[in-house]
Amino acid sequence: MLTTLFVMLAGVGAGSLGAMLGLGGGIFLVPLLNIVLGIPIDKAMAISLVTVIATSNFVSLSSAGRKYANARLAMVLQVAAAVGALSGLWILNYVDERARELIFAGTALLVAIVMIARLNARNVLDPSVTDVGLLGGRVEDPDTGRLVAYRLKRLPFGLSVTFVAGIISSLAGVGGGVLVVPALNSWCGIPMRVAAATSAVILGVTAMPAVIDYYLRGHLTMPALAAAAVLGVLAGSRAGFWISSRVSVRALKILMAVILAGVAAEYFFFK
Amino acid sequence: MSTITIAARLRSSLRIALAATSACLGMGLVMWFLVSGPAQAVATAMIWAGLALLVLIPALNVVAVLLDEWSTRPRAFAWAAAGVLLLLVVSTAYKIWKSGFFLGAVRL
Repeated sequence: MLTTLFVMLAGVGAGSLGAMLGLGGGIFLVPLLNIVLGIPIDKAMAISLVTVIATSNFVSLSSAGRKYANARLAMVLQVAAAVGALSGLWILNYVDERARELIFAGTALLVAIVMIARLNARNVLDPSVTDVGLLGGRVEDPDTGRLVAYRLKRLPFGLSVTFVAGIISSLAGVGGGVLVVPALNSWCGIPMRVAAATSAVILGVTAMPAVIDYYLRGHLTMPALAAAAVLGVLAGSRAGFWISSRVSVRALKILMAVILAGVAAEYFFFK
Repeated sequence: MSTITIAARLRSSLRIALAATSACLGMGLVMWFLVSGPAQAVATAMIWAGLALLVLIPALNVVAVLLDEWSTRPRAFAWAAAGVLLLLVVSTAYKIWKSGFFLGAVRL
């Protein structure tokens, strides 16, 4: 009973960060379930992937999430992520596990540095701009309370990063949100909150076949814990959106950079 | 009925499905702790039903995007959504086939 309650609380934390920053939450939930509660890594990853889908569903369907998520951009990037995930399954046979972890850690650290370097950069255009392109949009900016426009830049780069994120999600067993959100925000001209919501939508679709795979391999065997984590995540996602609309983009970027640096340190020194 | 109307209805249904998921999981979890014996099987079934519905929602959401975009020209985004759906179906079918799930069913 206490374990279930603990998992539910952990789910609240993962859901909040998932909705705020577009991360799947696996990066926090898996070590917590595995190291703190002693749940085997495969079972922990299965529960974590189910919670990724829960966050994604909440973002895709709630009015708060739909306000920010760009469905068209999500669909275009999703194709690259899915192809990347399939390629990752093939690459898995040829790359050593430690090498994969170091590649992931190095990338996360690089992205954290870029994020901090571009802390004050805002990807918003004047609201009077009429042409936002096929993959751009308009969204209310809680920092200023005004409607702002944004336009997608460097689509091939965005597709490449999402493709790599798909590969990494297969290789390292984590969602690609840690790469997709900073890349969309720092290089592709997408505002932070839009990048986070769009990434959450992408991650849910990528996680779906993985959850089925884990179930078929007999790793999704703790339904009560999975249910507790999902309920926690759904509550946390709501809280995450509430917090996200009340803190500045600068604060969100700093939080993201700190998390990325922490993830890099975990893979460099503690694995 | 236009594809946009169908997409809007599908999306409303998905919102209800997400609420149903929470209800199934919540009630199942409460029952899991309060009851024992054969009734616990009902609690387990409710939790599995909730999880199955949860996992199905992203695919149905892609269908909603596909229907939404079908009415716009050019249909590039509709084709992107169709591509995502195809990749989803192919990768899921491949995983099920590789796991020998159907072979097990045939043996049974």
